Amino acid sequence: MSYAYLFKYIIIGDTGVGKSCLLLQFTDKRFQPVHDLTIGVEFGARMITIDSKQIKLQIWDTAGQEAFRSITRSYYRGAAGALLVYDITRRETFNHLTTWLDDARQHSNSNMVIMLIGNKSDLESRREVKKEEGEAFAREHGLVFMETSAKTAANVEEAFINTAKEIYEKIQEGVFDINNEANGIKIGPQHSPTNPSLPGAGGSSGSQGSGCC
Amino acid sequence: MSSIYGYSKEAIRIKVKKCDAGQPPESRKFSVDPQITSFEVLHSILVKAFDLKNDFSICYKVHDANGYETSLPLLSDWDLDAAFLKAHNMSIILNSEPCLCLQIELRPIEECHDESNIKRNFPFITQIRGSGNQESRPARLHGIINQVGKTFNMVQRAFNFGEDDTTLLQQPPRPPLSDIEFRKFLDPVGQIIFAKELRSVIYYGGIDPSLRKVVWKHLLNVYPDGMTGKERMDYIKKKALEYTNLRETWKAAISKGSVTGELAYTTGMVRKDVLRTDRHHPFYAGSDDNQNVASLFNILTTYALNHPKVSYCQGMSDLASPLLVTMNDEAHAYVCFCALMNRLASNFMIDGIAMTQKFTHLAEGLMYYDTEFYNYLRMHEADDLLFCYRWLLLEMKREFAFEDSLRMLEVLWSSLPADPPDKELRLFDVPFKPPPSPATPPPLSTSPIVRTQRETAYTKICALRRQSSSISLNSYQQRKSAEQGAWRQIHSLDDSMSKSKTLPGIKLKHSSLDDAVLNESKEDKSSNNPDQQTRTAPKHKPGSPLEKTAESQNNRVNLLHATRRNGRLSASLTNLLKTTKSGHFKELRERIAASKLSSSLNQLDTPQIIEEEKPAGKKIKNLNEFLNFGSIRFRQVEDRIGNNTRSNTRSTLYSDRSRISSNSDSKFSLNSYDDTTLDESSPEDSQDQTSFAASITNELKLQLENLDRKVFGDKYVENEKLCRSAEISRDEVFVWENPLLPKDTSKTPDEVFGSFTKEQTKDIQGEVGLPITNAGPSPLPNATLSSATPATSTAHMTNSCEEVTEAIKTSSQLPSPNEFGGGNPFLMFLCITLLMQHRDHIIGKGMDYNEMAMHFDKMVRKHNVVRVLNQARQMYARYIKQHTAVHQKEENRIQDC
Repeated sequence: MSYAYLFKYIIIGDTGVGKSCLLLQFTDKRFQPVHDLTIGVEFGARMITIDSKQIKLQIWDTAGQEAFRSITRSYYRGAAGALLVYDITRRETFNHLTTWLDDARQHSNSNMVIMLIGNKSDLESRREVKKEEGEAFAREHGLVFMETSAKTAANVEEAFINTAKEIYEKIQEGVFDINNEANGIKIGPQHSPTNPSLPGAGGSSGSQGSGCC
Repeated sequence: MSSIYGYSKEAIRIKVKKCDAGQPPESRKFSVDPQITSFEVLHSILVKAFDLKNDFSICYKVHDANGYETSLPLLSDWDLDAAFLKAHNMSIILNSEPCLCLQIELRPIEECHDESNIKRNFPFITQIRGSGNQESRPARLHGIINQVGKTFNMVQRAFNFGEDDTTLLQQPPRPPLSDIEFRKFLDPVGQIIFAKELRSVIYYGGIDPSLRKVVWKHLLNVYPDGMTGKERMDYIKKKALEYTNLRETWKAAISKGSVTGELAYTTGMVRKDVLRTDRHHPFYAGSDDNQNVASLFNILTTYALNHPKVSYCQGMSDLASPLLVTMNDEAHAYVCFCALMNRLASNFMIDGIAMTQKFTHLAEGLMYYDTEFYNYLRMHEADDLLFCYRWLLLEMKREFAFEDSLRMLEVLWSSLPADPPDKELRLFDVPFKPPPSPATPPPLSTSPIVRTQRETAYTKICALRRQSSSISLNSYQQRKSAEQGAWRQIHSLDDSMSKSKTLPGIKLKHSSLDDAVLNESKEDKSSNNPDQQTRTAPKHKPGSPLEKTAESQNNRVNLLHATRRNGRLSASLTNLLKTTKSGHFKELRERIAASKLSSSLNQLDTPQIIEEEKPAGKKIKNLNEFLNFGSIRFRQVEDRIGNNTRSNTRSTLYSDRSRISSNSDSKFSLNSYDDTTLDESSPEDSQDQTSFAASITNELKLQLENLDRKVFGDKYVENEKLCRSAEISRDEVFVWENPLLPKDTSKTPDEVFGSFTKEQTKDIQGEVGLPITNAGPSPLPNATLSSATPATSTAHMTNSCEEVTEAIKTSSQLPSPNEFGGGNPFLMFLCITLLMQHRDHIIGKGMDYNEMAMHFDKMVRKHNVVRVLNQARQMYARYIKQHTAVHQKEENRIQDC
């Protein structure tokens, strides 16, 4: 499958907020009420279209337990977008957002687009975090915000695609250095000149190939 | 003898139907004596009966558990025996003459698609047991006519399955251990008499599901050695009661409402995870108040609270789940879980040593068995193999469908040497004490630390695996401060978390589980275990030479971890080193210092720093790893010390990344080790030092020996051992014992088989029961180390340099069985098998890291357990054979001298 760009995403947030279910809903359009708990990192991918351009989203779904957080950290660096997820029915997952955000900011590249997601919006009766609180937090920290339901698929598509749109915009504005794969963006095979992969070289350390596109 | 089989020796009627494409089927009937009819005999009878000229395949009909008729292939004496047994069982049920229905087809069973692939990869004959003297065995075997002898003859055939019968790759080498068969391994009072053989039978065929509840407890090392059936029942009853008491302690705290601190943290974590562990399985399916889910919750919570050093970590629920399903009893499952965690707790430890080692070995193994694929992974920067994390952490449990994973697990467990508890299995490390009252503030001092420590485990693994980093021996101080940094971060989580626990909404949401939990607890409340306290025996009992090393090894590991946490490792080690100044270690250190190896090792292992230091090679990380997992690294160090221009194939493993081709631009901080650590030792450390030193000495000794092997060659080690053997009892050393091998490699297979005669059963018992009980004077810890004097080591060093190079190239290229995969070599072969079975697909599609990881994620629960196990067994057999051969060669060489 050919694509114009590949964006790498990472999904982060407390354990049990529905990260894997969001991913599954987005990639497979289905909801599994009971999902295996994630050990380490799991992976997903899907093609989307923005501006009539094929964009491949490569999504890294991380384990939420603190124990795995350093694995998560090592993946921040190569990510163009992050979905920071909390569970609107569990306030503590909202309270931990600052920690996650600090972590993400500290370990990612500064241009990474972070989307704040309040998941489980279908469980209105058990809501503990008001939508306004989420909005306020997003405003304060300069994030895009959205409430989703991995169960009903509400806003799931939008969350991933809006993030991609913002990244795309940044590319067009020249904010992202697309030749540096450490930014989590790759130009599709047919769009780039010959792109010999250099075995073993520290992938993130410098630009690979000449940036002539 | 007939009693062994449980049925009399009457003739069995055989009905045979011959199917030939295009021809009408023919039938024949005859009778055979099962006692004298081997597969070969049956085969020749069939040839005569039908006047067959071509090759043909034989199947036999059986009725499975649901009463459906199926055909099973009949390819060996094993199968024939199973077929006879089944016929006999059916005859009892039907109250009729035993009758075996066969069907033969005039074409061989269809060939395995992967045959060519397998053949290409494994041109060798696989034979695990054989270790020399192969010629004399068959004659001897024919002389053994008792059933046990026959059984092992068949095991022997099973070992050879890859050699002459590749069709078997689609079937297990033998049927699962059946009820009746199992009884052959017991004496009249239910004591296991052929423990090692039991394991090897399970290794090849697994266990009949109905028998798992009983046999798993043996495989998991729940029982001390030598218990009769009655004793085992009493023992497990006692253990179950003990468990109930442990559980009631925290249940009572919850019912009092004091859900704070560690208790709140643990229950919160566990609850979330049990609700999404194997819920697709009928056992756990349905609503969240499924009682079995509550049981899983109880098991994990009880374990976490009573093992504060390990606590709870994601992944444990996956390990406990199959135990609960199989035991179908919460208490029994808990006991099994404790036994399993004795071996696996280190995977969840903060230091990440165990996991890092497994990753390292996996990479090493893959490079050895499939260099091309390894290079492909490296090209795609996937050689960190992090996508195998789940495989290693859960020992492949999630890679197979649930029922298949039970088979895989029992095969894997049976590949490990038995490691029974000394007196009894401990169900707690530090018994949980509930906080005094709900009013007191939550004991934050314990819980956050536990969490933070676990976090750093992954920091470390990632740093090691992903970022090609290096860590220094003296980075401890810095790491500590890094941990504190992380601690602060987590602390904020705790605050908010414990606050939120008081929200009514949360309580409501969790109530279903809690209720289930509490309701259940009420039943058991009446029973209080008075002797709970008495079981807080000291972990390490020094001065008991007969003590099983296994436990002390576990303790050693625990101690090691505990000590590292408390910042005393370096102090103790320093102390140890001070007492053993003349040991190899110093020698080695000097050599390394002299060669001015690099100090890219001096770095912090925090991610930030690593980022900056990335270009520096990824070599030795810290002392512990340096000692523990030196296999690869030592080869590299040795490469560089010995001859830095020599391009050893081994060093290609990291050569791309680590470019330490020139010694001068690399630094090695071993020489700064003493200084740093001395600063850290404080008076209060000293009290721990004695016991710690004692426990770590074994470890050091092992590592040093291992290290010697790498640096100086096997011969040196053997010589060393000879020198030491007079004064050192073997029980000091944990000896990996392959259950599939004759324990004493100097013993010929004949002797082993001979030993199954009745009069020697006692010997076997002793051998099997206490594999390392060569009682002798308990040596002083130091003596073992200092016995290797600098003079000897220097002499060998100078003499054997070239020899060493040779030895390393030709012989033990992979770590030995007791260290490969952290003492679980079979797991490594399972992983390598999975990788190799998909390598063509991956390379063919040119998958990148992400696609590969996704590919394997998609394969969760879908791998073919028979194919994977067969290939892994084959590789493992070859590996063991090579190791045995090398070992033998070394021994012969020594004898020649």
